[in-house]
Amino acid sequence: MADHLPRAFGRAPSSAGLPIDAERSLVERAARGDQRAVGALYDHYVGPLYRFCLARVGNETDAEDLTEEIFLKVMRSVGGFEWRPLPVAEGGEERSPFRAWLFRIARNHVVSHYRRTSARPVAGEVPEWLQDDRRGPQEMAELVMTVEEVFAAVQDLPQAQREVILLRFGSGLSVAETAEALDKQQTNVKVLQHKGIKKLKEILVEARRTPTSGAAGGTTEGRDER
Amino acid sequence: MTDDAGRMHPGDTDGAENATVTDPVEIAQIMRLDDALQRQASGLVPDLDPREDPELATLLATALAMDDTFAAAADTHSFHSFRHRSRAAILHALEAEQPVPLRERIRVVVAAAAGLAALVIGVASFGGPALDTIRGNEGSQPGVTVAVPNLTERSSQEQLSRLSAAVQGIRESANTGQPLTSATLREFTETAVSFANAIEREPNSVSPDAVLQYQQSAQEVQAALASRQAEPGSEDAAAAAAHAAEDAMTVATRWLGGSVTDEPKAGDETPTATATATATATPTESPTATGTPTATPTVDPDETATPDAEPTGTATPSTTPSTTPSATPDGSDETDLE
Repeated sequence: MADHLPRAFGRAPSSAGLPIDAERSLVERAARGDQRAVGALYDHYVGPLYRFCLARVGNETDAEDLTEEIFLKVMRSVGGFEWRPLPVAEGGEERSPFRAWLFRIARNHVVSHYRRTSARPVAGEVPEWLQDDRRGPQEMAELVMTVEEVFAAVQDLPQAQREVILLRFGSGLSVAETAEALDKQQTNVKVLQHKGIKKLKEILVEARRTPTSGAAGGTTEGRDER
Repeated sequence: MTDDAGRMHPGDTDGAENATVTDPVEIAQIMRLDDALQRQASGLVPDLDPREDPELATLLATALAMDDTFAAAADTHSFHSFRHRSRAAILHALEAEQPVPLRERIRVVVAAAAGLAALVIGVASFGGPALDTIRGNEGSQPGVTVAVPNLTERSSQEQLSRLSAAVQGIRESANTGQPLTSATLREFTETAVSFANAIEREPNSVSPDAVLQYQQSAQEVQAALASRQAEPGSEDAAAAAAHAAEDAMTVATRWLGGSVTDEPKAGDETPTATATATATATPTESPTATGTPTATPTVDPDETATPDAEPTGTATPSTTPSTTPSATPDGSDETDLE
């Protein structure tokens, strides 16, 4: 696994590109029905939101539907959202109450989706985007295996750990924002983050050892959500 | 328990399983991992030596691999296409939900009344024959079975007709120097997004001609939007239409393989000399793969550019990609349908 590890985070910090004041202004304008502000917020959040959904449901079509539904839901409710500045977290990080609110809605919406459809992700299914032929065969083989493993492994985490891992790494939320979204203390998020990564590493190592059990490993998504 | 900054102390709980974290080593590892992740996210080098702490280094590597994996999910053609489509659809949906201004309401009521009056007059004047036509003349020809057209095809044809009507409205506004109305723009956005969805979801259900027409409509709207102002209050509708047109271009170009515009039409100059490298060899997965036909198709300007020789499929790189699909008898077979 260490052979193809990334060297750095693939994304910028959560607040990159959208200062907290600018975000607040966009949210307030969106609440007044300003379509440009809605568009700007969409542009900023569609990626993290889609990644969050994709990691939860495991297929592109459902992830796209959920992303759209969640953003519409957020925008329909944004009029009632009150921007309450959060205390500055350690390291001087500014926290976005909107971001935490949005992902709280996203999390609840995905849980409702499972309840509504009784859907379970198909373990081992390779999403269409992995079949991107721009990558070379060698790279593809490594990537497919890695994503299959990661996806299956994340599903096998206990629910609390999985939620933290998906918000932190699937959606790029900071510890503080994750804590806000999950209504937990930052300390708890850090513990769950550590435990989750540790558990993931064990699952991934085991999957490498016995390839058939990793990617096709049972999913506990539906069970946990109920 | 913990301080405000989130630092841990022995005795803190993990919040998940009500297990108490008492091991100072574990607490230190939790904090160091978090610190390393924060530094990494800030673009700094984590203060971590793999030789000194291989366990922590492995955890960090696992976290970064996971992050990279998730990040790759939103960097694909499919995602970008969805993003454009979804953006336009969301803006359109939200705009449609906004309270309609009084002026707009009056306009809608007047238009609806006029439409209803026209319908009543039409039925009164041509009621019998018109209704017979609608019914498939079943009254005059008992027993005749009316063929039901392909629903998907009819649906895409209807969408195209609506799209054409919307583009016509935009064209007229542009030609007469009138500002673009939000109703026309919304109609275009809705039909363009709808057709893009049809192409994406059921790529085999649409014909190359339809996609070409779709692409041309989008081009025309882009040009109109660039040259005309939307009427006051319709700026958002114009922005949504611009996004829809942009997405339409992306979707159509990808469906058509990105090279249909190079297709020679009857009457174009005869590509006799360069046509040797034009026919795509065999239907391959990628439209950019080229082949060399064994025979040289010569094209009569008065006829369509259809080669009568069967390509052999010898895959030699083509140096004239501009004419690659020109001699393809059926573009749909050669087109990358994703």
